[in-house]
Amino acid sequence: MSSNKIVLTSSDGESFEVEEVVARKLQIVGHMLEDDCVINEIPLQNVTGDILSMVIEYCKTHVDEEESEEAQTKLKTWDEEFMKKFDIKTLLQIILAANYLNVKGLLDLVSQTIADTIKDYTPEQIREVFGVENDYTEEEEAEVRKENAWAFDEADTPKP
Amino acid sequence: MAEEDRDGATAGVRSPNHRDLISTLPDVILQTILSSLPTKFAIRTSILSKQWRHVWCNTPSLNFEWCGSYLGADPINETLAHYKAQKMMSFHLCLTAIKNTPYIESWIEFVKSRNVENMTIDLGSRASSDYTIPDSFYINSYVKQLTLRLAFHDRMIPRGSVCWTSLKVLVLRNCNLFDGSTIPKILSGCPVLESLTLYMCRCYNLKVLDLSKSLRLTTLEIANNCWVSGQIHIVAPHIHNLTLTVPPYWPCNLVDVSSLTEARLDIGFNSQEAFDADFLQQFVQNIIEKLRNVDKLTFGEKFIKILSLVELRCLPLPLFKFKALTFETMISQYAIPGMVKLVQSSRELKKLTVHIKDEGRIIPDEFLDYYLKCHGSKTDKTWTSEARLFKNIIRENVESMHMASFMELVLKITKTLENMVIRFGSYLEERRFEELLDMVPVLSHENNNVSIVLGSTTKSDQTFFVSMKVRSNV
Repeated sequence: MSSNKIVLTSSDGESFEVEEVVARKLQIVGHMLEDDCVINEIPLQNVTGDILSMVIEYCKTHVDEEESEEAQTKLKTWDEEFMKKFDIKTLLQIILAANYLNVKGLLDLVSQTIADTIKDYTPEQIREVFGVENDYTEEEEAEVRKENAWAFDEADTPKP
Repeated sequence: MAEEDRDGATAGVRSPNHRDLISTLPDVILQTILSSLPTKFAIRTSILSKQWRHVWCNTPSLNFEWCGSYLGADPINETLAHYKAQKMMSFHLCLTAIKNTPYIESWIEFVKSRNVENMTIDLGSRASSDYTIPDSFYINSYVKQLTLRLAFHDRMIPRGSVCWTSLKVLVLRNCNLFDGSTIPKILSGCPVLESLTLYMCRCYNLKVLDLSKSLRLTTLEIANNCWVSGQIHIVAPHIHNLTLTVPPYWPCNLVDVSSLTEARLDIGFNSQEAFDADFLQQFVQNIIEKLRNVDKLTFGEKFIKILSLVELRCLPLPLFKFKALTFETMISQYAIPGMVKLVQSSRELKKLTVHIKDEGRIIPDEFLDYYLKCHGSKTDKTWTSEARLFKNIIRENVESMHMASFMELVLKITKTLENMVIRFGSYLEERRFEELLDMVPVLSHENNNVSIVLGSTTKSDQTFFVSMKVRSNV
């Protein structure tokens, strides 16, 4: 059963043939297979080929989640390197895909990576990096700061 | 087939010119991201734009961890007042100020009202206050993972019963368990408990830690616990995985560990005055005897060094059924005899892992020399040539040939080994590691079927693994 191949097709028509065990790491696929076990081609409407290929790369690497400390260390190193490959925009696309395809490990990994970025920056820098447009007036912004003033203490605000 | 776009978003098909992609993510994903942050940083996103103003209020977790500055009760109370999520996954509270103590109970009530599954209450950074955990803390049917850390004089004394009916993982750190009935009460109130950790707790009036009625409890970790009544007897017939770090003078007796498959052993050694080699040596011999049928064993450096004393004094050790052994230690003159003895006594050994660690606060070598001298061992003759090679070898002067010699020693004394893994961390600098890689294929040995993996951390903090088959040079 594990040698069974499944074809995953992206929204832009790119096809990926993967082992069933890899495809099952995408829980959305796992659920479809449970509903109807004879499917061998699965269209994935909400993800493009370039993003899907990255999700598949992650799933292939994580297909045997061994518990030994060595295996864990190796995977963790791989995860770190994997995350370094992407710019913010790609990370955001991957997190959307991980959420849609329901790949828990990848969702957590990308969340943590983005969170670490947010933690390192001032609000001004976050707006800059993520392209968030500030639509507050000065007064409104001061009001929001005041509401939870403790969170904006300067003592541990990252320095620009 | 369900083709509905449930989260209302499409990955990778947005206009590539749309810069503000993050604000178009569904809130549920934004909240997942913010859950990975201390709440302070999550709240800061509220001034990014109007859309972000309330996003943090619905993150499924709150995390008041130490963020580098004093956190009073007011910020926490304000935050809880603005917080809207009805179902929380996790709550992490680290209190550093003693004047927050009166609020603890109300925060615990808040957490209970949100059905939190994962809760950490860390009161250990406050000054000591004789605080007693309120009885309401012990009644919670939602929490699945609970970590509690107390300050020195704080106490856990449940007056009523304990009712943690969903609790699977319990970690108690620095807790004072004054009453001998506390642990039995906790155990009887946690019917589905799977993992118990007691870390530097002080347990009074308890002579037996009886886990025989906790049928699902399979993982036990006890580290540097203080059993004030003297020796503790551990009855743990269902435990599969045991981690035991025993401080000198607070020994424990493993009465029943009949289901054990995996264990990690070390000695907690915090004070040099506490060094009593005779006592430790007997303890080490006794405990290892109880574990002879276990498959996977990990030993810390201090345990290995005490075993070295056992070996150097030619005291008996049983034969073991260990299939996988891990040593977490520096390789030194004082560690080698213990490691060699363990490997030689493991007649079914398939895998050996050496994780080279420099943990500091190890037993000073002079203590061991003095002990051996007292027992009439002449230092020069006591040590094998392989051990003597490591005399005074530290990270700064270790050469690749030292490690090659150590590997040859291991290959020489085991016939059944299939895998050897050595993780150097930062112990071997890059150049020496490269030299060692060249030496491995020509190591002299009789066993020709060992796969060797060497791992190292280079300056850029990168781990890489190299595998090779050692060729027999017959």
